[in-house]
Amino acid sequence: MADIRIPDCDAASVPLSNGDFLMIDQNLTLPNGAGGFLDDTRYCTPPNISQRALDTEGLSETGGTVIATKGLGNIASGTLTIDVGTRKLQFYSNAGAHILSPGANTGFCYLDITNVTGAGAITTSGWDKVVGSFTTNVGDQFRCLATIGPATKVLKVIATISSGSDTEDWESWLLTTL
Amino acid sequence: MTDIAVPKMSAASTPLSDDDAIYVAQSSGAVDRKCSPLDIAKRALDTEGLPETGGTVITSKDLGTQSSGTLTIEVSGRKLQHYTNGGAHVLTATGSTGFCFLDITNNGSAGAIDTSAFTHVSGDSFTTGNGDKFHCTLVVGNVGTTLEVIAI
Repeated sequence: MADIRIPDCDAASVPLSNGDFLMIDQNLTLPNGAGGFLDDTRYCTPPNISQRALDTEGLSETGGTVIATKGLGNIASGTLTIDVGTRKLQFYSNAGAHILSPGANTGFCYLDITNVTGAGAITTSGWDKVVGSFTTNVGDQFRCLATIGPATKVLKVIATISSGSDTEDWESWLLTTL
Repeated sequence: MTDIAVPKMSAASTPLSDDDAIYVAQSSGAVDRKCSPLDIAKRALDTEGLPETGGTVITSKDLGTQSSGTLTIEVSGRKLQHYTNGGAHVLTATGSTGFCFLDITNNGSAGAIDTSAFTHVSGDSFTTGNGDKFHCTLVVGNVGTTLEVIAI
């Protein structure tokens, strides 16, 4: 299939509005203001276009996004390597002792961890700094911020939501109080 | 008019550059339209509530070595930035609202960092030891500029 030729714009054209559609047809005749077409053809994909915003510094931003959290499943052993480039909001369940490590990609993400039955110690390996700590109480939850740059890899536990259902503690309290 | 199907392009074509414009010629009597790839991309930034199921790898912006004077951080420059403390200097932020993470690494000439221009500074204190590193969160919002420092 022949490529679509994308000609130059002339200044008299009207910028697209939000309600406009881009419609391109290989048989559509597109003028370039000079009676001809560019010698070479051009192409782009939707990711090509989206990448323009990501690679441009200082753009104004008046919108926002609803981030679908990325589930990393139940981690019961081994090593979980966090790739901050995959999603800004990720979560997993601590179902057993495991290692939590930073991936190679630079960037940041928020990471939610929920202790489930079998929750074990989380060994943080590969981080330059870890702020805060984890528990193994079932139901406890943690919100972390993972930031990975060229100079530092930092994991910060920014909130701990206690389950408040630590039965062993309640039993001890009752035994010593009653 | 009916919609027109968009056919596949061949890989041999040349990718659009930032300077290219997409020109749409409409049917006779209508006004032609134009936009750049950046115009299209910008729509996402200015739309609230869009679903996001992807992620990005951020290339940290290197601000070089700061040995004196004032380093003004432009938070809109990039979400991840870093520089080397090569001497006493002032650290501040521009008025552009937003946030970024900032890593600072001391070299052998590192000096004191004056953060008095910030509305609020929290966390660890900066030191001047060679090789010391700091991870900072810098937010510019309606209540001012905040700087949180974590010593590595």
